[in-house]
Amino acid sequence: MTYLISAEVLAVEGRERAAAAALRDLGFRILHGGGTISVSGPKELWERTFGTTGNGRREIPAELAGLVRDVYVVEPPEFF
Amino acid sequence: MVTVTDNQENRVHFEAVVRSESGASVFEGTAAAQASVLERLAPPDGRAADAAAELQAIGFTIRHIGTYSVSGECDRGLWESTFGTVVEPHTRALHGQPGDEADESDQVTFLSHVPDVPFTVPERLSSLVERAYPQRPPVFFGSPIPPPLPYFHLRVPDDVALILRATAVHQHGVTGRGVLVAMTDTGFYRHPFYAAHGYQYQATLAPDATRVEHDEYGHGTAEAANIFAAARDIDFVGVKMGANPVLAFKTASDLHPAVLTNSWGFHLPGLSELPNYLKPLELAVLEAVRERGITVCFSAGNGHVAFPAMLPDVIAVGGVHARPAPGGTGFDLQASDYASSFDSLIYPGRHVPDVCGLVGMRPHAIYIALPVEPGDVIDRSLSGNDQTGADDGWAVISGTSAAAPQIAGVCALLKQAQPGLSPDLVKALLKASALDVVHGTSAMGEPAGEGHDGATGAGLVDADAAYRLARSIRTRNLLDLPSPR
Repeated sequence: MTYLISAEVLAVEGRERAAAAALRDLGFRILHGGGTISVSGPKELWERTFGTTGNGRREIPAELAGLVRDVYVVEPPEFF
Repeated sequence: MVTVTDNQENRVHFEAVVRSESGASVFEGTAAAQASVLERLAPPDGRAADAAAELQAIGFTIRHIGTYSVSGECDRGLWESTFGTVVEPHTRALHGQPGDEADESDQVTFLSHVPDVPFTVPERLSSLVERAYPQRPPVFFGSPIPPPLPYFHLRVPDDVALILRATAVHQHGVTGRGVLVAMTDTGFYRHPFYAAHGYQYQATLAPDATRVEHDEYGHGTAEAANIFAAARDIDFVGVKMGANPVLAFKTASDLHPAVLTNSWGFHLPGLSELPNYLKPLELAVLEAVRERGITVCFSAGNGHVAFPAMLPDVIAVGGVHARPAPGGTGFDLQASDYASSFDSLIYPGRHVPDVCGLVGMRPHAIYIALPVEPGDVIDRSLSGNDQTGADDGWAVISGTSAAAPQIAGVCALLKQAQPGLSPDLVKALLKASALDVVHGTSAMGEPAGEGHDGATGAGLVDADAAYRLARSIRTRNLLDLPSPR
């Protein structure tokens, strides 16, 4: 069973389309654009690309340099 | 033991009908049982037990001996050899409506007879058993009407509409018609409640969600009924959430609804800065309100320090509990001790809630009878507390999850009356017209009191008073005058 991780990617202003294309080329699934880009991908892909799967310190890889400012892994909410 | 959801590809579960004493048969025409006196169909004393004993001697497992039939099960091979027949597997959905396509996880396989293949009751059983049939799993569907319950609770739509004074607005012909209201939640099952009331209730998926016709948890299906209580003629779309709540919110926002309601959030006690992982959600909410003009409601939380309710741009909805006043005149109102109230440290000056909807009291806020998908998590887990069945498609719940959609419905009434109202103006109207609540304390222990207070904010939303304010407002042209925002 593949363990998928979802995240919101904050692109460099004006480079949103290029960022989405680069993420897609790396193997991420692009789910939605907007102020941030919604993506998902297997755990292994996250680790290979960013060196981590959490919200801690991560490296932006060369393929995304100048395109991506930050990546935020999402968490499930509580239903009230 | 098996459950109804287990696949049964090699096991026959059957009912064997015991021969009657009179010779009358339940199979004589389609209405035999209705037309006949039941006594005529009854077997003589002991015959059902004799039938069971004989079936058991052949090798069948007997589960129950009833008045008219014996329940049992056996392997497929024994069934076919005993009765000289053939059965075959069939697959179909347990839930949903006719014509629904179900995915694999909702399908169940069972054995049933092949049409036109002979079936013969063997001689050793023929004096005892008239016929025998493999049984198939039922389709689960809830009643459009909640079950009778022996304690005080509210029903949708009428009780909620009455207490929020939405009924009075409906009498002016303002029912939310032409207003699109969206909601993000766990799913939106097509419960018969919605069809029976003629509601425009649609569901769609966030791009990472599946099974649009189901709500495995039950939360969204239940809480959506609160919106219709306040605004019965809205166009509703529920966005089923997958793993990413931001994605669900953005999907709903992209539909440009007039109102977007959300009964969920994140508990951030003691934090003075928003965690990074919630910043995309913050952006998406701000875009919806500020750039798209969507009125966004969020539940204040049930003792939670809830984000995004704490965002100043949204309408944060807390809870007030209403009970009939002694003597039958009106309602006694008090702050719900189940609902949140707090000052945000992340957004200084921001207090939650802005206004309140109807919420129950501790310990479980069992208060409003709401439709759920039969047998889902809420239906099963609450049945011990709310005295509804574990798979009857109804649960008595509330929390601020119920309050936010109620107020979203009132917002829809205002948007019908005045489509140009900005989100800030909608909030201002709700606050200016709310019913003051002076008793009780919130889950955080803040007391209610005269005027705006910590526990209830401006108080319980009064739909009629809000509507009377809204209908008189003339929204200004931004080029001519300062915006009312």
